[in-house]
Amino acid sequence: MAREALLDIRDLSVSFTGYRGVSRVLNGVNLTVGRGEKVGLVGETGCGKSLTVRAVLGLLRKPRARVRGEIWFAGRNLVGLSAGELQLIRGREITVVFQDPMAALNPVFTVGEQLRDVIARSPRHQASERETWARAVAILKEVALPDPERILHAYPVQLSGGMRQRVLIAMALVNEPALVIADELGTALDVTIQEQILQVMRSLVDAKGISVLLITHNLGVVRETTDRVYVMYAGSIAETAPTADLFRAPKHPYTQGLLASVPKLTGEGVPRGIDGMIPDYLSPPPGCRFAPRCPFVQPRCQQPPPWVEVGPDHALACVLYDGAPTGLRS
Amino acid sequence: MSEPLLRLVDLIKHFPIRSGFLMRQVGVIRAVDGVSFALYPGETVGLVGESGSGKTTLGMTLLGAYRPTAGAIWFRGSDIADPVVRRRVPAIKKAIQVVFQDPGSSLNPRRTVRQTLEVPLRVHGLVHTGVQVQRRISELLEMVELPWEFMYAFPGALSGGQKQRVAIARALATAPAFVVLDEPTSALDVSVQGKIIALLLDLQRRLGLTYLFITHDLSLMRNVATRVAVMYLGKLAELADTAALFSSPRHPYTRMLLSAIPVVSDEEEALKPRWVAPRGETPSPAHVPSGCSFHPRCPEAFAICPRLDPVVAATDGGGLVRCHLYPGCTPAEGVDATPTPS
Repeated sequence: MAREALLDIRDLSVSFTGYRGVSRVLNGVNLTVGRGEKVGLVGETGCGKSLTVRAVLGLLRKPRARVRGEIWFAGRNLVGLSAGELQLIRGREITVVFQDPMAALNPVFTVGEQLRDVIARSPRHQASERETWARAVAILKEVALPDPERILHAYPVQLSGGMRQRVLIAMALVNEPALVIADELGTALDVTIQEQILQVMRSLVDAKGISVLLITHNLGVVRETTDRVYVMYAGSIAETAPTADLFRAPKHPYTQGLLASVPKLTGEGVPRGIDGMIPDYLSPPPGCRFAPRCPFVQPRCQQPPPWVEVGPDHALACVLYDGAPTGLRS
Repeated sequence: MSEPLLRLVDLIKHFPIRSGFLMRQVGVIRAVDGVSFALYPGETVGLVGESGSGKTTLGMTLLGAYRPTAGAIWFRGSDIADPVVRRRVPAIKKAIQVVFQDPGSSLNPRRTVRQTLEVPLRVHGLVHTGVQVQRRISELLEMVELPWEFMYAFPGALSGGQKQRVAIARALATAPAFVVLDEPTSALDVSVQGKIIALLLDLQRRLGLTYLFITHDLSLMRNVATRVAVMYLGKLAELADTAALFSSPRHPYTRMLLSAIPVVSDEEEALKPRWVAPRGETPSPAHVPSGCSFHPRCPEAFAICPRLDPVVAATDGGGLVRCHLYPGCTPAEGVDATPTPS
C-alpha cells in the first residue's frame, strides 16, 4: 500500500463455540484502509462482512466469540484493549453509519437531543449548550438538510427515510472521526435518494480527509463510491483491487460470478447466478472455501489457496493464478 | 395485440386520513390516482417507482385486498373492482395470485411446507383426499425445482431462495392466470436472484402466466419485462415497451430514475441518460403538489406545469406518457382535466 494504513487488519480469525461445535467464520482476513481512502467490502449475505466490522469495533465478547489476529488502528492494536479503552475510540475516532436509520435512531428522543449526546462525546469539544447547538445546526447544513432548526426539534418518525439517513451521516461525521464505517449505506432507499446520499457522503469525507470502509452487497454502489475493493467470501478475502481494475477485469472465479450475476442495463437476459450456497461454518470445505461452487475447481483446491499478486494493489486467493501459464490470467 | 387479460380503467384508491376524537376525515392519501392500462396474456409488465408511488397499493387493489375508491378492473368479462362480483365468481380468486417480497415473513414459520401449500388447495376445494394432497404438493414442488421431501420441512430450515420457491409454489397451487410479483427477489442475494427469475420466466412460458412485476430494480426490469410502467405519486408517468423505455425515455422522471441506477460496467454507464440531479424528495401522497405532481422536482418544468395536470396520451411508439412536453398531454385550458380511460 502506497499510503500509510489507518486501519490494518492482519490475519483476523473469529470463531464461535456453540453446542453443535465450533464455527470458524472469519478465516484469516487481511484488510487495510489508508488515510483518506474509501474502501469497499463486498460479499453475499453471511460471508462475514458485518462480523469484520463488529470485530473492529470490539463488539464481539468472550467467551462465545474467539478473536485472533491483530487490528491495528492509528498505531494501536484494538484486539485486547479493555472495554473502557475501546469506548474512547468508538464514536470518536471510528464511527458507524448503520443500515436502517429507523432502528439506529431512538424514537423517543428528538434528533437534536441525540445529536447533542454524540457531540458531547467529542474529545476536542468541551462545549457550552449554545456551541453544541450551533455545531449541530452546522453539520445538518453540511449534509444538505433543509431547515436544520426544525429538524433538530423533530422526532425520527417525522422525517423521511432519506432525511433520517442524512441525520445518521451527520452523527457519524460531527466529531470528525478518522474512519467512518458505512454499513449498506443508502441501499434501503430509492435510487434517486440513494444517489443524493452517496454524493453528500463522498463530498464530505473527501473535504475532511476521512477514511471510509463501505460494507455492502450492492456492487454498483461500490463501483461509484470507492477507490479500492475487497471481495469477501465465506470469511476470507477472495480478491482485492483498485475499484476500476476489479470491475474491468475481475480475476477470482467468485468475483467473476458475482459480477456476472448482476442484471445489466445492456439487456442480455437475467444471468443464472452462482450455483450452490455459502458453506456451513461448522464444517467448511478444507482448502479453498469457494471450491464446491467453483466452475474451475481442481485437485489443488483441497489445499488452502495461495495469495497471489497479479498487478499493482491487485491480489487474490486462487490457485489458478499461482505460477500458471499467462493464458489463464485473463 | 390480442384481447387484454386485465384492463384497469381510471383506477383510484384513496385512503382517508382520520384524526381527533371523532375520527373526522382531515385529508386523503392519493395512493393510486387514476391509472388506466391493460395487461395482455403471457406478458410481464414491470411496475416501477419509488416508495410512496403507489405501486404496491395498485398491486394489492388488483388482488382484491383493497376495495378501489373508483374505477374498474376488467378481468374475463367482469368488473372485479366490485367485491360482490369477486365473491360471486370464485374462479377469479383462483386466477389471481401473489408472491410477496420477503418469504421469511410471508411463510408461517410454525407450518411445514406441506401445511402451507395445503391451505389454498383446501380453501378452493381442489383436493379432497390425503392422497390427492400428497400428489398435488409433490407436483407443485417439482414445478419450483425442489425435492418432494421438502414438504416436511419448516421454513426455518430453508434458505432464502428455497423459501421463495415455496412461496411461488403456493401462488401456483390454484393454477392462476395472473400473478402479482411484489419485489420477489429484492430480499435475495444477487447470485440467487438469477435462478428465481429464470424459474419465474420458465413457469410463465410453460403455464402461460401473465405477470405484474412490482419492483424498484430497473436493471432487472430491463431483462425481464415486456413492457414497463413508471408510476409517480399514484399516477402513471410513462408506459412503454422495455427496449424503448430504456433507449429513449420520454418522461423527465423516467430519465431521472434511469440516470440514478448504480451500474457495474462502463458499457452500462454509456447507456444511462445524463445524470439529472434530483431536486428534493418525493412529496407525501397526502400533499400532492398542484398541476403536474412532478413539477417541483422536474428539471424541465415550465409555466404550465404547476397550473395544469397533464393527461395520459398515446405515443407514436405505442406507449403512454403523461407530460406537458408531449402533444396531446395538455388538456384544453379551462376544461376540467379528467384523464380519459383508454
